[in-house]
Amino acid sequence: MPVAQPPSTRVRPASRWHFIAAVATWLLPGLGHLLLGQRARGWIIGVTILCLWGGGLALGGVSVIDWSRQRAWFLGQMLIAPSIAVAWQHDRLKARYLLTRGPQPAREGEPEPAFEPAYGRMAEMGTLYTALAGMLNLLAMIDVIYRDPRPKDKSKPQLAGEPA
Amino acid sequence: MTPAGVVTLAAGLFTAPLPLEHYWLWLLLPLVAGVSIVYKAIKLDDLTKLPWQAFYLFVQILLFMLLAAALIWLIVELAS
Repeated sequence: MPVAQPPSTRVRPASRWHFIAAVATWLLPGLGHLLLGQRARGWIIGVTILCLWGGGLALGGVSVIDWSRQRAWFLGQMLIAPSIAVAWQHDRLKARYLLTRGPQPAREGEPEPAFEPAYGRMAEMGTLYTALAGMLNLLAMIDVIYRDPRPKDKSKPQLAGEPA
Repeated sequence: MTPAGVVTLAAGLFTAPLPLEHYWLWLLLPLVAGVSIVYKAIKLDDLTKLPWQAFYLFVQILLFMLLAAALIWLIVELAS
C-alpha cells in the first residue's frame, strides 16, 4: 500500500520545459532562470558565473582551457558551453603555431604567436576560476530542473506542522 | 579607436596571462565572493536577504580556509 508523503518532502516531477531551461543554462549561465521567469535570480547567477569564467580566461589566457592536457579540469570547465568553443579555438591556435614553426621559440623577424601559454600561479588560478564557474553552473542547472517558478502565496493560511 | 581595434584589444586580454603572479593569493577573494553569491542566490527563496547571507558565507569560507592553512602549517612545522 503506497504511503502518502508529507507536502514538504514531496518532489514535483520536472517538466520537459525545465530540461530545456537547464540546457539554456548550460549554453549561457542564468538564461534558464530567466526563461522560468526568475529574472533577478537569473541575472545575479548569470553575471556572477560569467564574471568568474571570464576572469579566469583573462587571468591565464585561452591556454587554461585545454582538453588534451587537463582532462579532469576540462570536465568542470565544459559545464559552461562556451568553454568548448574556447578549447576548440585554443587547439586551433596551438596547431597553427606548431605547424608553422614547430616547438622551438620564435626567431627574430618572425610573427609573434597568436597566444601566450600560462604557467605557474596564473595557469592555476585561471584553471580554478573557469572550472569553479562550470561547477557553479551545474548547481544552477540542477536548480532550474527542480525549481517551481510559481511565487509562494504568502496570503495562504499556514497549516499546523507545515514548514514556513 | 576603430571597432577592429577594440576587438583586437579585447582578444589580446584573453591570449596572454595577466602579470599578477605576486598577488595570486588576493585572487582567492573574488573567487570566494563569486561562490558565495551564486550559492546563496540558488539557496534563498527571498533574494532581499542575499547581500548579508552571501557576505556571511564569504566570511565563513575565508575563516575556514585560514583555519585549514594554520592547521597544515602546524603539521608541516611539527613534521620538519
